[in-house]
Amino acid sequence: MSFTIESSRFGRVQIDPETVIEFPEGLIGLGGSRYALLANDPEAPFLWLQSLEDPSMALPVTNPHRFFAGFEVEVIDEDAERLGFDGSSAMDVYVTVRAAPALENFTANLKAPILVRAGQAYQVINQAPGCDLRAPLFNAPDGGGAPDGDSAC
Amino acid sequence: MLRISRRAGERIMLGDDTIIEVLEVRGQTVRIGIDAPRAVPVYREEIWLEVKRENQAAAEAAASGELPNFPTKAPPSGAADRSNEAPPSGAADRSNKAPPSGAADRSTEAPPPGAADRSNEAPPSGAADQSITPPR
Repeated sequence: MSFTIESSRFGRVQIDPETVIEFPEGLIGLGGSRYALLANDPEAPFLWLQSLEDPSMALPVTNPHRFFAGFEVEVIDEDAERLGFDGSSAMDVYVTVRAAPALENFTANLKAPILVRAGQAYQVINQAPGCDLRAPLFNAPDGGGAPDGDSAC
Repeated sequence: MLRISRRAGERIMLGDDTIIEVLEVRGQTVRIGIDAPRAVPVYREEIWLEVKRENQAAAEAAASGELPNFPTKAPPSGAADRSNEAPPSGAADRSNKAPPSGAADRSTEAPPPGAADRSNEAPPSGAADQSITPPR
């Protein structure tokens, strides 16, 4: 059963419960426990994490694999255990996007990806080498953070 | 702030469940062991802080109203495979990674500010009942 929220950014938005994601730990430093993942168009590269608790809180996110060919996520054992990752179940990965007036200044946070599985999401610290907090989305020489030696991002 | 002096091997209890142990003191470096309940994430402060700032910046940049038009077209070559799945271990699955060849197409096509493609932007406030479809 869908419901309606007032979003500062989007106005009145109809939320499909299937888009609701629980963040048991919130986003790092920001908190919040329930967000909806919104997309104007299923093909659009950018989606929005709209807080269901704070109408003014919405973060753009993207699928890092669309921009960074070699992107990988590695978490410390404690995180894997804590979050119940056993490597067998598929999950979606998103990274937050910092928008800027010019596209070439858009960056993605590859250091702290958001892993989503079965409606639950965790923002984790990515241990894979070379994963920047502010990785340019558009102006890398080859169009993305392609693998560079040992770098996974 | 509570200040407690400890020697190597001594511990501090935070409540009943969290143990902080001084493992080793060597020069300017203290090695600390943390035994916390599973549900408690543990971060190095500087990393926690930079991620927090980045999250805030992402939310604020998005809210500032200075957003250029997000490109709404998927890269042609990446469109076919959108499974967006990655194993947590960072292991094998590279199947859903967009080939770099698609990147050039989308990087330079930003329309000038104010131009046509605004489909991904927020409607003016008060816009009626915008329905946003879930990603599939």
